[in-house]
Amino acid sequence: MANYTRSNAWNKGGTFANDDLLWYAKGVGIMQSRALNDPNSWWFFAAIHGEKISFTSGYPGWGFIPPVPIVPTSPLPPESDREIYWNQCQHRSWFFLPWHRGYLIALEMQVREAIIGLGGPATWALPYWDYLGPGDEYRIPPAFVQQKLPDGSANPLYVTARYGPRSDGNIFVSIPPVSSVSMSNDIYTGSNLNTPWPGFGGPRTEFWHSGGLSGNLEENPHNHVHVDVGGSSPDGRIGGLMSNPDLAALDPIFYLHHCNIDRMWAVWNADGNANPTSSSWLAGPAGMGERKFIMPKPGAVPWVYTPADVNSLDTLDYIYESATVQVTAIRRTFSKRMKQLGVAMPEGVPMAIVEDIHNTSELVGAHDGALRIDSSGVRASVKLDNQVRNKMVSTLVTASVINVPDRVYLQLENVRGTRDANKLNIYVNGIAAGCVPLFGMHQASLKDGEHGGSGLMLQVEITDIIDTLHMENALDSDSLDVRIIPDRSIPKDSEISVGRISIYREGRM
Amino acid sequence: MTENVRLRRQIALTVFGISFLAWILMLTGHHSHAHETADSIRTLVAMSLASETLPAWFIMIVAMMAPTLISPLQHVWERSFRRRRARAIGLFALGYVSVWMLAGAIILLVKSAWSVFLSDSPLIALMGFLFAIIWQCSPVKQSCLNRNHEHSGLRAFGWAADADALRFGMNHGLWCIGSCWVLMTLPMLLTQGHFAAMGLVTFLMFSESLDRPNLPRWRLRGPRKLFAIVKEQGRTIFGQRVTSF
Repeated sequence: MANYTRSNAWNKGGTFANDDLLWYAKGVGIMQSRALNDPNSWWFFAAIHGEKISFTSGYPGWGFIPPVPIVPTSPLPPESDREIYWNQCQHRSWFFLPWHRGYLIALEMQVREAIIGLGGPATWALPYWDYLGPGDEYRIPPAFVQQKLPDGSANPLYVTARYGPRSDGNIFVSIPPVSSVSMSNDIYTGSNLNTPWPGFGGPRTEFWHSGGLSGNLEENPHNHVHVDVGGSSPDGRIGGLMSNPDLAALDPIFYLHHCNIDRMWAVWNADGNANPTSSSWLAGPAGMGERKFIMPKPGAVPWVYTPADVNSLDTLDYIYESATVQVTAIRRTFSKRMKQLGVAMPEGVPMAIVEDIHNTSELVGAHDGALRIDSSGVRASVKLDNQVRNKMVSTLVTASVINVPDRVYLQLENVRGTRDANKLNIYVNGIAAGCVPLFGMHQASLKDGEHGGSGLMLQVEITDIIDTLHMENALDSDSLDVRIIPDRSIPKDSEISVGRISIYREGRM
Repeated sequence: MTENVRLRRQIALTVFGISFLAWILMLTGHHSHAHETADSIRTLVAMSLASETLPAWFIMIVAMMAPTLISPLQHVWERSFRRRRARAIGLFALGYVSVWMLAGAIILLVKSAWSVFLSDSPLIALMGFLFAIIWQCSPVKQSCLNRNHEHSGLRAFGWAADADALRFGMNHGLWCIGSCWVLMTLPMLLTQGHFAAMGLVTFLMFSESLDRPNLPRWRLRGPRKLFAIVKEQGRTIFGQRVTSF
């Protein structure tokens, strides 16, 4: 039996009547009282995820964050500590889930230690924010928006730079586009009939580092919720803490959000879906010559872990109160797709293919040249290559259970800009194709950042739209009409650029 | 689409193979101008006239730089229409090699001029070595390494696609020159042990190409990542526990 149970933050209305939240606030307060160079401090832990302390040219530099909280930028820990611990977060990688699981465990240890020191429960565990839950649970638990604790002292869970999807301080998650659709995936990395590329847990990353796609769970709900909660200030001048990966972990709601992501992973596993078993994943990036996953336990004791160490809840000392995720969106099944394509489905044909079938993909068309997106959005004609388009169409015409028709994706390449607090709504021939959040764009656009300034790569699956166009005999066109509309206005000095819009087919070559 | 591991491995095998062949050519001189090239390499390292040494410089570039091109080659491959891939790769390579050949001509001319006034001496090699260490630790070097990670958009159709592949190769080559020119020059300063030095430099440059971009600042850089990969892969292969809990 696990010692610790992570419970729903919305228990008792998500207020301070919920002891988990009250003790969390007190524990956070203790950690915030420690100095930046203390590995047990709130600020040090936030920097483990990512930091912008030396960024002195304005926001999102930590020195430019509006209080509260008052975020320190000194005293810095020794450079050796910074190199070991800071800026570790794993995004756009199949290590996203295991790294964050260890990060949560370490933070939980720190908060619990502080709570015990205050005379609180020794079994305290992080609550989760199930924004896909029933009723008002799509809203942030009220305890996070109160400026005072019940005893009248300042509430450490309150953050000024948390603006919400409408920039008005009303913090909620927009459903849709936020959904649990990734829970219908049945492969961790790769693609198959039930799983679009790059899979539930993210793309395999090897020795060569490059900015890839977010895994399906990372993309939705994770990235969406970051952008929704953080938002941008009413004057559009700055983004909220949660909108930027290098500021996000300063906001106490961050850990409840990630607790829910971790819970969704655990539920996905409990539903019979497997994590990777290759040594490349189990050993983590350290097995590829990269940095180890390492966290400071209470007392600044280093804890080195690998994905193998956090692979299963059975080996860890906590469980979740609820092992279900409310279904908020349903992906079209393969059977349904085949019926729409007019293919009779024989009885008894197994439809579950759980291995990765993504072996190759091919460019179908592209919009040549960069585009700038301002508040009014942008429209582009994405030219299709006749030869490849015909090949794609032929897989739809000859579709059968054996001849699986192509899957098709629209990709935005080299998406650069300074403001992460935006989402882009994408339409193909007037049909809504999807919505992509820009979480991480600023970092990915920095010349000396991890992506070398290449920007983000974003993707939406447009197989449904291609099928519809095919059935309407509208796919013989030389181009697709693509519109990209931002979900909120973009300040003049914060334009977003897209290097290329491209269409890829995935399937038989 | 991206992150296709199988494709990346195929590209890696290909460039390692090409590099290996170029190394064989350098070491044995077994090609159509065998004795000529072998002599040229010796001449090159002995600082002779550029006109005689450019073919050898070309083989050196292929041998030493090809392993660093896995990531940009994958970028070109994936961003191009299937039927244009070979052409795009060729244009990228042409752009890349062109700027290196131009750099080689300049380096070799400077060396030739230098050799007229200064005789080969261990002192020159020592000075070169010290300069190489300073450059290796400099923020400028890190900036150049970082810029090599930028993979910009490539247009897909017609002459624009050709132009972009060529331009990408040239840009990538320029930043490679910025980060590697001192290392590439260093073996030529030695009076002996050229090939061993070239091997070490190749190892170092390949390792650097695997590193993530980092903030430009003074720091000691070395083949840390490649050593770590070899060590960790060795542990995995020999069945030892990879990390501790």
